[in-house]
Amino acid sequence: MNGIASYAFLQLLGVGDHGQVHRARPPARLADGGGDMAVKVFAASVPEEVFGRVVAELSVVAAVRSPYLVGLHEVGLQAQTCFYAMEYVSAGSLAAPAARTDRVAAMRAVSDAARGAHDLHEAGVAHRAIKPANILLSDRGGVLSDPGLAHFFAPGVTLTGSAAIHSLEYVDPVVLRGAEPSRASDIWSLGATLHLVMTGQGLFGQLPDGDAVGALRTVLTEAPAVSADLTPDESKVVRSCLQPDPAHRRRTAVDVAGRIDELVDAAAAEG
Amino acid sequence: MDDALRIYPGPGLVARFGDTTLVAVLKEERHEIFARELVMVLRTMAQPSLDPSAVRLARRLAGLLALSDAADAPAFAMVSYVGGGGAVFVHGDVEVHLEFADGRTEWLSGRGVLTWVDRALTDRPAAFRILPVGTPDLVADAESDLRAGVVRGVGVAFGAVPAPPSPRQDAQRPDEPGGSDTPLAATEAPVVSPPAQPGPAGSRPLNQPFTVVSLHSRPDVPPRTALAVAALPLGPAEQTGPMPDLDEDSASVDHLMEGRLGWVVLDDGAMYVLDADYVVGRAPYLSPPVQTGAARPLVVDDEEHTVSRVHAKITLNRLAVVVADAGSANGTFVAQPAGEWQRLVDDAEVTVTDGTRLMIGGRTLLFQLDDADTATAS
Repeated sequence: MNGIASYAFLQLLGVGDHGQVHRARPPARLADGGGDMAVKVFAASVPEEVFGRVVAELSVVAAVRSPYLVGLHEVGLQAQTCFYAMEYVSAGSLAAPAARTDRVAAMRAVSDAARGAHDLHEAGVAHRAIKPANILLSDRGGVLSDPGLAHFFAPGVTLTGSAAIHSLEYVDPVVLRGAEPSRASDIWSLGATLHLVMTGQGLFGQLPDGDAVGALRTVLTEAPAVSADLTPDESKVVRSCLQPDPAHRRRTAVDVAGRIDELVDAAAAEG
Repeated sequence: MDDALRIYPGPGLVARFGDTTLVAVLKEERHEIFARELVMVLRTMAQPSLDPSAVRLARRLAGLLALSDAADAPAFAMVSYVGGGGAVFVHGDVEVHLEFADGRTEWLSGRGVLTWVDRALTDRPAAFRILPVGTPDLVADAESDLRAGVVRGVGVAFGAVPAPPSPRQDAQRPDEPGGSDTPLAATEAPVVSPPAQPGPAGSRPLNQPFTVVSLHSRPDVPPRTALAVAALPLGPAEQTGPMPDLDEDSASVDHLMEGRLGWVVLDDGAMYVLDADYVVGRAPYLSPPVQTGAARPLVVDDEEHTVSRVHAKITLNRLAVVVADAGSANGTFVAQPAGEWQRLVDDAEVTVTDGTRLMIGGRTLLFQLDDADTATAS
C-alpha cells in the first residue's frame, strides 16, 4: 500500500493489533506547515454504519485536549478501508524506543500515559489498549496513543490475530472474562505496563507463542506474579493496580500517575 | 418506473432476456466465441418461460469459466433477478453498480480478482449499471431501450437515467492535484458524506473515492454529546476506603462472568465472547439479524473464497450454544471432541460442548465453554 486518501506513505512504522501504522506525508488539505503524520490503517473491512460509530468515538477522543494524548487529525474511509491520521512521534514507543531509554525515563513515560488515560476517563472513554507499544516517547514526555477501536470492527472480539497474543498480558482478566472495559481495567493495564518497564518481565512469565488458547488459559487461571526484584514501595504500587476485584484497585489513573512519580523521585534520590 | 435498458456503445455484446442482463467486453477476436457461448447460456436458461433461477445461471457461468482457458474469456458481468431471487456475477475488468429501492447501493468489481465475484441478491435492484472498469467518460445512448435480445455495446444502465460521469464533489482522487482538496470545515457536524464505494477485499484503495472527517477542534461537539455512542461504564472516581493487599484479596470475580458462556476461538487466534448470537461468514453484515442488531457479525474469510458471505450461525439458547448452517455454498461441518466431522444439512442444529470444532470453508473455529474453564480455574 502506497497511500490512502491522498496521504503518501513514507515508511511502515509498525504492524499492530488490527492494522498497520505508516509514517505519511499529509495531503494538501491538511498542510498547515506541519510535518509528517502517522496514519493507522485498519485491516478489517469497515462498512459505512460502523465507520459512523468510529467517527463518533474518535471525535470524543479528539475533543479531549491533553498533552499526554497523541493528537488526532482526521479519520477517513476509502474503499471500506478505515484509517485515521495522528501526530507523528519520532522517538518510538516503550515497546520499541528509538534510543536507549533508562528505567526512570520509562517510568516517567508510564506516569504521563496514566495522566493521558485519566483525561480520557474524565471524558467518558476507556482507552482499552494500554500497553508498552501504545505509549509513545515524544520530546514532551510519554504520549498515550492508539485508542482501542477493535470493538467497533468486530463486536465481541477480545483478541484478534496472533499479534494480540503479546498484548494479552496487559489486558485485565476481568475484561477477558467478558466485562466491559472501564476506568478500572485501564488501571490494570497501567499496572502491568509499569511492571514490565521496571522489571523487564511480564506478569505471567513467558506466554506460549502462537498459542492463543494456551496463553488465554495461563492469563485466566494464574495470578499475576509481581517480581520480587521490586522494592516494597514499587511492588505496592503495581499490586494496587492489579487487584482482582476492580473495586479494590486505585480509583483513578491520575492517582496511579502520582504514585509512579513518587517512585521516580525516590529512585532519583537514591541513584 | 423506467425499466429501459440503455446501452453504452462500444466493442462488446449486451444481452437481455427477461430480467437477466449480460455485458461482455470484447477486446480480442477469440472473446467473440466465448461471448456467443454466454449468450447461448442466457438464451436457454433465462427465458421467462423456462422457470429460470438466477443462482443456477450464476453457477452455470462459473462452470463455463472454470472449464475455459483464461485467455479466451472476455471481461463480462451478469445481473439477474428471476425465480424469486437474484444474482450478480462479475469476471474481469467490469464493474457493477446496484441501487435498491430502500436507497442501499452496492458495487462489485472483477478487477484484480483471479476467478470471479458473485453475489446473491435478496432484493430486486431498482437500478443498475454495468461498465468496464475505469471508463468514467462513457456516455449511454439516451435513446436506446433494449427490451430483449442481443446488441453491440460495452455497458448498460438500467432503471434510471445514467448519472453524469463527473466525479462526486466529496470524492477526491489522489491523482488529481488541487481539485476539491479543501479542508473539511470544522463547523460541519461529523456526518459521514455519501459512501466511498466499497471495493473487493485486498484491492488497493488508492484511486477510489473516499470520505474524511476532520478531528481538529470541533467547537460544535462538546466532549460529552457523542457519549450515546461512546459511553462506557467507567465506574466512580471518588470512592474511598482502604486498599486491600493483593495477597489478602482472593475474592472471586465470578459475578463478573454472568451472561457469558465461553469463547469462540478462530484459527488465527481471534477470540469472540459468547454472550450474544453470531452470524459467521465473509460478509455477515448482509444478514438481517446483524443489520437489526439481533446478532453480531463474526467475519471469517479465506483466500479461496470458500466461505460464504453468510455462512453459519451461532445461537445462544439459554445455557446451550447451538450452531447451524445458514445456507452456505460449501457447507458447515462440526466435530465434537474426539468425534468425526459431520455436515450440518438444511436447518439441522447441533449443541456444542467444550472443544467442539466448526469448519467453514478452509477455516476452523474452536468452542471454549466456561464449564470446563471454571473447572480448571478453581
